[in-house]
Amino acid sequence: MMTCERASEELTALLYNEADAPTRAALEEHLGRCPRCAAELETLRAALGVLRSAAPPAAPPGFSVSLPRRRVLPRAGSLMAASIVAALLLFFLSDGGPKAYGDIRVEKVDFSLTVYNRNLALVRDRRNIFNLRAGRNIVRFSDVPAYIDPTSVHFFSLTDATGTRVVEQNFEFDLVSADALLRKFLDESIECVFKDGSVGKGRLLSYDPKTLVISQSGEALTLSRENIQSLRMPKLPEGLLSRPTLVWDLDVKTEGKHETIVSYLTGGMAWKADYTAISKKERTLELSGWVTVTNQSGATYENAKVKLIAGDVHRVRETFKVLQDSLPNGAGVGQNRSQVEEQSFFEYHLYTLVRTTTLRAGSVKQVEFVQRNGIPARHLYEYDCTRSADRVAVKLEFKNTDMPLPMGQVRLSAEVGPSTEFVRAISIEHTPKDEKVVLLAGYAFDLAAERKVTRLDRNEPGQIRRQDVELKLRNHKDEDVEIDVLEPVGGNGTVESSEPHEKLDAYKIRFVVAVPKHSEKTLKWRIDYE
Amino acid sequence: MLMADVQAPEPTDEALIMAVKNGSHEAFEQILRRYRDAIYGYLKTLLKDPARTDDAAQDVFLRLFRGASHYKVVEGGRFKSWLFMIAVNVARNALRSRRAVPLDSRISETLAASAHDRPDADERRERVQAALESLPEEQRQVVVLKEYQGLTFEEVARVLDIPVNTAKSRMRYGLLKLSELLQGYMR
Repeated sequence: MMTCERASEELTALLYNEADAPTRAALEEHLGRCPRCAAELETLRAALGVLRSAAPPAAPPGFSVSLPRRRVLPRAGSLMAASIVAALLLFFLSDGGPKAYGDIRVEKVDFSLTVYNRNLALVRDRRNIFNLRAGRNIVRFSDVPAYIDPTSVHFFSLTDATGTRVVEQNFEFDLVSADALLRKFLDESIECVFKDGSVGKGRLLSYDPKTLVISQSGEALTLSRENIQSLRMPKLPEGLLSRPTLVWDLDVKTEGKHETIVSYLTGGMAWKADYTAISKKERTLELSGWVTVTNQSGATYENAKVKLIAGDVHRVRETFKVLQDSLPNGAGVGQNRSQVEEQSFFEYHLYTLVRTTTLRAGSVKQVEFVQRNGIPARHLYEYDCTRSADRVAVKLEFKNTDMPLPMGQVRLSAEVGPSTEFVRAISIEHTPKDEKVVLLAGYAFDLAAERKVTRLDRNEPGQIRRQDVELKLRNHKDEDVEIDVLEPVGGNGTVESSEPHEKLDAYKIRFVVAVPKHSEKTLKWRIDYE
Repeated sequence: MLMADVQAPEPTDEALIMAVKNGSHEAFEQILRRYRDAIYGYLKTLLKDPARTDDAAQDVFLRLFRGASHYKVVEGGRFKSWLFMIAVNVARNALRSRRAVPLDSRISETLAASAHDRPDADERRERVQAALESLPEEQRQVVVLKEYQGLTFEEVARVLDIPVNTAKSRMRYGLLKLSELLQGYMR
């Protein structure tokens, strides 16, 4: 049994819904017996209410942060040796054409991606590099994601693994934008064309989203960017790219074409599973599931093989089909057409999409992976006073017979006459094959409950010694129903009841009550605490 | 089988910090827009003075930019905790450098006396802020991070480098103290 001291430690966790299920159950049981702790909970709740009515101030409108002028480059020092900087600048100034660097050309072949649940992907990028010379070569490997982790890049030449190595690597990310241009022209002369047509010239001292500070004839002027029509820079600055690019200094022994594989980690990729379930009148369920892959990494992956990793522990090894590739409109995918494996991988699940797909930059791709009709579904009715004192919950239960379902959200609809109506969205956990899935669909309209505590004896200082409870269940349906009644009981309570009950765990008992159509059933029980 | 591509949602914090790590000023601006109110509000509650708050908030974001290269992206993401760790350090330094000002014991009396009237929203906010300021720093830190910044107790514990149970009990003591100070506002 939980002590007052222990309860008071956990009250704030209860307020923020952060107590785990056993702690919560023990706390609720304790609060039912201890008015002092119950009163403290109310005090804490009230204090929170006052706090919430007076949130701290927001940052003032003009708040901004001026970053240091020097651009911070990744892996400074090791990668940005002065000679390489010079070589790269020369390279960009000459626009990277074949003249300066021979006919070195990089051609994409394909990608394979392993996407983790949240914001991380491992990319295996296969490309051919043409016309490499023996000796040192500068190679631009463009169209890499903006959120690449440059420290994770691994280069491998299939053509000559031992004779090819990356001497230096630089990740160039300074993409062309208005602010990037301004940054390049700090301390340089620029020309401002104002909205009234006048033109001013001066040296750019600093800028922020609203103003420019210009030095003109020894004076400093602040100009509102609102009044400026356009800015003219005397030349195109070097070092600005239109696409994020890895630039390598490659030392090569075998001349000519190299088949290469480059792997790297990138942020900005994520996936999740979503389901739609339609509850049919004949007590069956129609279930379809979609995998949604989000690509915010800044790169497009054409012809990509996609694997999805779901983090979870202690999973059993199962065979699992994710995607059918040959059916039109995704309809009628049957379990007997499985062709892709789900593998356990350390303590993860690995799901593979069967066919290659293209993931465009900034897009969300949805792929159907399950479609099943006619799944037998039971309607379960459950009364739990900790959920609602006067309503009976409806749950849909079905067996997951042929594939593990990744964690996701189920949007449940029900057939109403000729149409289907949305009922609610429910989260499900990773569900292995042959496990039951239970969806809380809502509350039954035609079932009502009335719970009364008819007697309460207390010990000093206010602990409950005996509690008598009466529960009336009314069934207004045209059919008989069976209702599960769950009742919290303290760990040391003994129960006598008018109907048989079973003890589910230390804190909960269950009655299974049959209520005939259009009738009422009364259930009584007494709990004695030691 | 494949549905049409639709517009992607906003990049996650982890994606943005990865870009900042790679030197992107634009990603930094996005993080700034996303968190400036939270950081400013947090610091204002601790430091009170607007000018000091402004300086400290600048400092937090500059440290974020400079320290981005040390940030390790992990699955699940811990960016928010990391950002608030920086903010907590900056706030502690600022508080340490501030000349010691004895807590005005009259704050409590004033609060208790005048709270029976029905104050307007600004006055209410001021009084709540004053009550918060009168809490011991260790409790104030937890209350502000938990309630106003929406961190979980685990995150609060990580940010402040204290055990989770200590975070919970500091929250409890902080709220109980506030309930005494703000009696007139409680329902």
